[in-house]
Amino acid sequence: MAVIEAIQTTYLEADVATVEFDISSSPGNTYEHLQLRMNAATDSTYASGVYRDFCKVFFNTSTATTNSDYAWHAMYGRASTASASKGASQHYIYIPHCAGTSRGVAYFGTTVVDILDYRNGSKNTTTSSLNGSLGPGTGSGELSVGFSSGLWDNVAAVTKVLLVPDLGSNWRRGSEFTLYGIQE
Amino acid sequence: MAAWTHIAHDSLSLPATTVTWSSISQSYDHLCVKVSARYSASGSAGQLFDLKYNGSTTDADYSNTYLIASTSTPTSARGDGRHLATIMPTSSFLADTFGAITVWIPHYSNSTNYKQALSQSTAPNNSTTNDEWALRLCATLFHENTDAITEISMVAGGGNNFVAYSTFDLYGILGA
Repeated sequence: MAVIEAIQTTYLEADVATVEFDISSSPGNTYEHLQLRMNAATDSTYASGVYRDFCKVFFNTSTATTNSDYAWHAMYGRASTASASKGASQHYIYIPHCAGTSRGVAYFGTTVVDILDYRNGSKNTTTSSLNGSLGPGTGSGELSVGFSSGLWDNVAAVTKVLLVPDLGSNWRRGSEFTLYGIQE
Repeated sequence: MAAWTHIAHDSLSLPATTVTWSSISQSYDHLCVKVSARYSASGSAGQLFDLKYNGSTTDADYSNTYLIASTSTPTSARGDGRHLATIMPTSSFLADTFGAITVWIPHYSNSTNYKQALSQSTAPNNSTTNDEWALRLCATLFHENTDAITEISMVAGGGNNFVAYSTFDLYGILGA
């Protein structure tokens, strides 16, 4: 068996509201670590979001929940400034600036998310994400590179990963999401 | 041929100060280290831990440049010393919460270049208070000599331990 394997790829032929990976059974529940790779855009028309949208991550559910047991922290650089933002007791993990919007059809954001030791019943689930999203211009609303962490205050093994756009209502056609499993 | 090979795995059943991988095969092009770790003692803004190579404990053999955030304003700096590579949560952070850490060590088996590594590490927490969480991106340089890397040690630092359930994985990556 290869050390790193693609568990599932979802390539969108049409807009969808959510993307879900169910890893409750083999082979999804047989790895040491997970890695999610996304190249995505949403249908957001939110003016302030311009070419960037965020991704909300939920675990072990097929629908968005409001359990307030997530936290996230992010640092990012834009045109000329670096900053950081954070949230505690949140409904989801936030991955900032990881997706394009409807503003530019050809512009998609890119993200790599690590979910380490995701089956360990003695650990809260934590993530790290490296992301970038760029539009055609040079303004701070058009581009970003970031690094962030996520925390789910729950020691249950991860069996589902649910991805929901923040500003937009849908992930746009052409978005691609692949979940990899990494062996120990 | 598979590009990735799993070389070593350590999962701590008891707290430990150090995890060492010796006699690392020279058969690969790159190494990747994935760590899920937490520190046994208290401390704000996470605990830095050492990555040392080939048994070298001399701080002057290492240097680094990093970008870090534990407040709303990220900062960058450079430093000397092996102890600045990565960060993890401490016992002051939310219980059962471990950092997610990845370190890439490219071209580790060549004997011509100094070895550089790139690490991304997190100290997550259910807090938005300054210095009760941390993110860190770090480039490190090992410049004692140009020897191939045959041993990697991860040392918790500060005289305390990685807690039980911390895990450490070493992967070898092949090129074409």
